[in-house]
Amino acid sequence: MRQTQIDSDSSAADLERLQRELFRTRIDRARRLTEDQRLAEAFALTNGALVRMHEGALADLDAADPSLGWQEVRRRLERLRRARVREVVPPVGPAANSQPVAR
Amino acid sequence: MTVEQLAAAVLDACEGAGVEHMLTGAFATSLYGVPRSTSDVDVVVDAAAGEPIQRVMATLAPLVAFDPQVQFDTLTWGRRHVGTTRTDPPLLVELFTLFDDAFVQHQFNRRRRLVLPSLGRAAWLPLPEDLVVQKLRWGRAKDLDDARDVLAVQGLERVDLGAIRSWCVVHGTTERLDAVLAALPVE
Repeated sequence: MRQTQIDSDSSAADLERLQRELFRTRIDRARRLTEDQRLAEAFALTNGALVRMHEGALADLDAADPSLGWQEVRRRLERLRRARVREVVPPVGPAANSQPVAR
Repeated sequence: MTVEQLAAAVLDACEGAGVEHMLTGAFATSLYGVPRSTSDVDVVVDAAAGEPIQRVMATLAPLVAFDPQVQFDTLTWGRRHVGTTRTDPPLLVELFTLFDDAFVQHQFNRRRRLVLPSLGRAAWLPLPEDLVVQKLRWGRAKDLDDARDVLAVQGLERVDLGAIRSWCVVHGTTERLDAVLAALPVE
């Protein structure tokens, strides 16, 4: 039992170290890029993600018609957006804590 | 249509309509932090209502179908016009209208113009410090990750942490800021 606990602690520490290293790698890589290169990468990731979503939708539907795939992607994105909107966050919006300014 | 073509079209429409604007959302975050994907093109526009915003949406009408209903956003406390591309892939355009809030105004007034070859044009963007303040204010898990990534990539030695903290005091988000700072990698 004691040995198991030690192993578990050790694994958790290893995992945390690994997470830190992965994060450090991501940050170092992003720092080597220019602002425009990072933006270009975001565009590429977005375009690529949509293609992957489309491929996945076609596979799930077992369909070959691209329009059916895009229809399903639209439906899934809409569901995702609704879920994000419903995420509960503490109210720190302007009405609660900020001074209005005259315009 | 690619997402960068859509983003350029939205910014062109704003300029064509004479509407002051600023690219925000995931693309602004990616420019200052770690690139990530999104399905939204988010733009803040200085046009509360009426003709200017209608001109923007009319220009985009061949590309984007806008919801006739203006949405009130409970997260950002602003109004937004939401549209979806008429052709595939499905992408969302969100036009957030500038409103009378001290930080929102401050962020917009300090925006910077950058020449962005990947977009094929110049664009207005918020400063990284203001993006961090905004993300901490919104406070969703994804927003806090974005704030952490922007601070990590920019480096604490390059950002005005005092200005960020001042706004966090106003917004009651200093705990979130401290949590994000604690998560940064040791230099």
